[in-house]
Amino acid sequence: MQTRITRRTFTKAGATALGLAALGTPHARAASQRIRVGFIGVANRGGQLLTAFLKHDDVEVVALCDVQGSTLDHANQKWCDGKADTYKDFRKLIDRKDIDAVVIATPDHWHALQTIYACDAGKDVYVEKPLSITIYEGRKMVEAARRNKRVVQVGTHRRSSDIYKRLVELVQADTVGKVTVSRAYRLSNMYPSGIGHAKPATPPPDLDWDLWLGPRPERPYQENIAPYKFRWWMLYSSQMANWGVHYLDAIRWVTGELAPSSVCAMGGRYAVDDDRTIPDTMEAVFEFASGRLAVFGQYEASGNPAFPRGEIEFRGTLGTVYVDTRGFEIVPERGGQFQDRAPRMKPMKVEGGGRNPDLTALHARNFLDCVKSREKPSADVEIGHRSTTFSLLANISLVTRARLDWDAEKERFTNNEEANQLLHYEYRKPWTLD
Amino acid sequence: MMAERNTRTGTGAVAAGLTATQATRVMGANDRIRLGFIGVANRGGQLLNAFLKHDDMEVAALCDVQGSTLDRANQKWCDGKADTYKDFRKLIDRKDIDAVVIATPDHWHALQTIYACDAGKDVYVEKPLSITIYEGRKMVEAARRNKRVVTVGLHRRSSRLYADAVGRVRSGGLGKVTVCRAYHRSNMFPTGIGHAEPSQPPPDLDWDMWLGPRPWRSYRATIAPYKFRWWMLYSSQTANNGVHFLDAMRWMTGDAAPSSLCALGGRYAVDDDRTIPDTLRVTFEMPAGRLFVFGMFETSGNRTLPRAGYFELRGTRGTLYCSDSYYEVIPERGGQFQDARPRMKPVKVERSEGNHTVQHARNFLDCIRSREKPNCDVEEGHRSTTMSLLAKIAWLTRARIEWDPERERITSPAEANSLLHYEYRKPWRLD
Repeated sequence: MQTRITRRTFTKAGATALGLAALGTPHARAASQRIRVGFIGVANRGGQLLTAFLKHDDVEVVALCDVQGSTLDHANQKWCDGKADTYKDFRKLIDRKDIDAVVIATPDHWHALQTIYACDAGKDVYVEKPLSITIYEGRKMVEAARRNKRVVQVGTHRRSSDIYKRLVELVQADTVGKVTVSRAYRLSNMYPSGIGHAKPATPPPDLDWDLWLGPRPERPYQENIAPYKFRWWMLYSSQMANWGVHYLDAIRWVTGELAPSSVCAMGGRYAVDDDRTIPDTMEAVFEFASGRLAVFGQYEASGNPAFPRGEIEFRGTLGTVYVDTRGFEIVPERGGQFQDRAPRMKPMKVEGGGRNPDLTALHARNFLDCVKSREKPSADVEIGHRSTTFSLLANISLVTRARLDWDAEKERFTNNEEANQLLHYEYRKPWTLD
Repeated sequence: MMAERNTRTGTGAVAAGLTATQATRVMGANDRIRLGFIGVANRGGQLLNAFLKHDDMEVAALCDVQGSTLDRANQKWCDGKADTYKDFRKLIDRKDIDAVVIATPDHWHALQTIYACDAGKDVYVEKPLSITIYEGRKMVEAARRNKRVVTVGLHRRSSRLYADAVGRVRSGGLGKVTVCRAYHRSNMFPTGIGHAEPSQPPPDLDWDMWLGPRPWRSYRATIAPYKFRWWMLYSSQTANNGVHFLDAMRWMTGDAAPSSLCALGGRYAVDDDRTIPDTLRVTFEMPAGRLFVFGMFETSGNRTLPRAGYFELRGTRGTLYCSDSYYEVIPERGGQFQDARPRMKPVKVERSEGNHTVQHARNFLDCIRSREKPNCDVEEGHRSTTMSLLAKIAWLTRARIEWDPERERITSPAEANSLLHYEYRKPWRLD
């Protein structure tokens, strides 16, 4: 723990050297002390994260933040016996010197600013997926974590799953041969009325709507935007990012890929009649330079299963894997045309994984351990950034109606300048991302 | 009726400045239809078998560029009594033949179909209809100009089971269909079609004639007779297999053509001589608001759909899985924010129909007499084949393609239009 404090001192010096202004001084604490955490965004997912973190004894929830007063009070009562300090402005929470780490579960367009502020204030960060709403933001978040030597964990909780870890080892040891296609789908039949229609309205009196919008353009409040339904609005999130990142991250991990070389996404609003600005039906196909495809389908006008079982399918030359958080099964391949038809491996079935809440608790555990050890967490910010990039690439491909070639090193498109314009956007003042 | 047909054909052809017009014989109502078969190896043999199930036809002549194939087919199906030709033009020149059945490699379909139409013959031509989109349009024009019956070998068009499913889908039985998916899968890892050195063609094979309008190249055992399906110049698996499913899905939804598509894939795992991908994923967008997905997986063969069936139609009320002996509809339930109850009752319709190719041949023979449009008229076959050929162009150009189905032109990227056709090797030409 002494080491940690030393590192934090170093961080402070580093930050000063970089001319950063808003630097907090985290309090020194003994190894036996609990990690003091502040939560930013405590509605649906924030509540689940409070549950997950509070399963661990070495955590103390010091402060909660939410732009909506009733949400804040509800969370404080439910998880903290009303004893946490509460803030509507996240900057006040981050300014607190006695907080070690923050947990961020706000809409996607807020993740970058809050994470970067927190890192610059010397705090470790657990931030929900998708990491960011632009690829440029994601890179800035990685830089902020590295510059300040912060532990930044992204909420792709499968990274803390033993089932997935086991599968990664098996696939990378060539157990199923070469994986040429990986597929996953988000399936929910939201026909006919989806998130519904709502008229612009005065925001609830306890909601700071301007702060909810943050860097995004000013617009009137609608009840099918906040608090929950922003997921269907391209400006604030998307289902490609919200769901796609979970699966694309796992695909990337299992197949050992950094980034696609090319992507094409197609889809539209075909059946659901609501206010959404994202498609109700969409398919993204990614190609990798190593020679394979990944497919993610977002079907929100049809909910029946899309393949035999599991949440992700990995199609190898020797066997096909069907996996979800509870276990995986490998179905042997047989030779097809002109090939030996004998089964190419033995079937395999592995069970004993957990459900999403269990994995979230494990993921929180990993984060807390890393806060102490200063090791990289299982879903380090660079990992989360690279996985989030997939979804954001797909959204850009959809909007530009183009197949896009991607240079993962430069983080630029090589065949479409219009698409490069969508790697970031101009924040609404006073918000800036330096 | 035959007399009228002859007159019309002759006049039309002369007016169009065509030279090779034939007068076809006058056929009475009780006469058997006299057929000539062009290409009698694998698929040609299956077609002989299917046509010979019907009493009202006779096989007058066979044609194949390989002598041994020709002799074997003649012995097996015709007791050695059919006239045989290595040059299809000689078969088409015969005035006593009413119709031809074409099962040659894809790059031959257009010339042979158009010659046959211009010679006043009806045509059963295997799928894919053509190897370029331009050829397909020219084939439709030749059929119309000569008022010929031209059916394409998408034999599921003659299935009553499929027709029943079409009725169900088009009357809204699934709700709005937003995604249709089909896959061709066969695990050809590791050696695929293998490697072969360029070599002398077999002495009984007219290799120059096999190549026809395609550039000259040396013979290889991995090209002819069967494996041309893995060579982009002569066919492709997206066209060979994909067109069956794309046609069936298009029939069910009533979509004429896609407005846009992209295709990603490559040669990822199979080590062989092929020039097509071993893995390909194509997404089409339809103007009515739905996606067609086709996967060509030749590096993995396990099931791609959650249930048995060749393809899947995902509607807002139910999901349909269709195979050749039954189809079923699995009810949908409401998802997020919707009423979670099932939206319909499950459906399963079984019908063992026998061989669809036999029924498709029957329909063709009936249409030769009735002059009605066959179950898979050349225009339908052309529209379905177009989807496969567009997929090939999207893959080659590495671009999302925007398609104008009326003008049959690619609106973006414009340079992709150069792939709508190619320059034939002389003396072959398509006017």
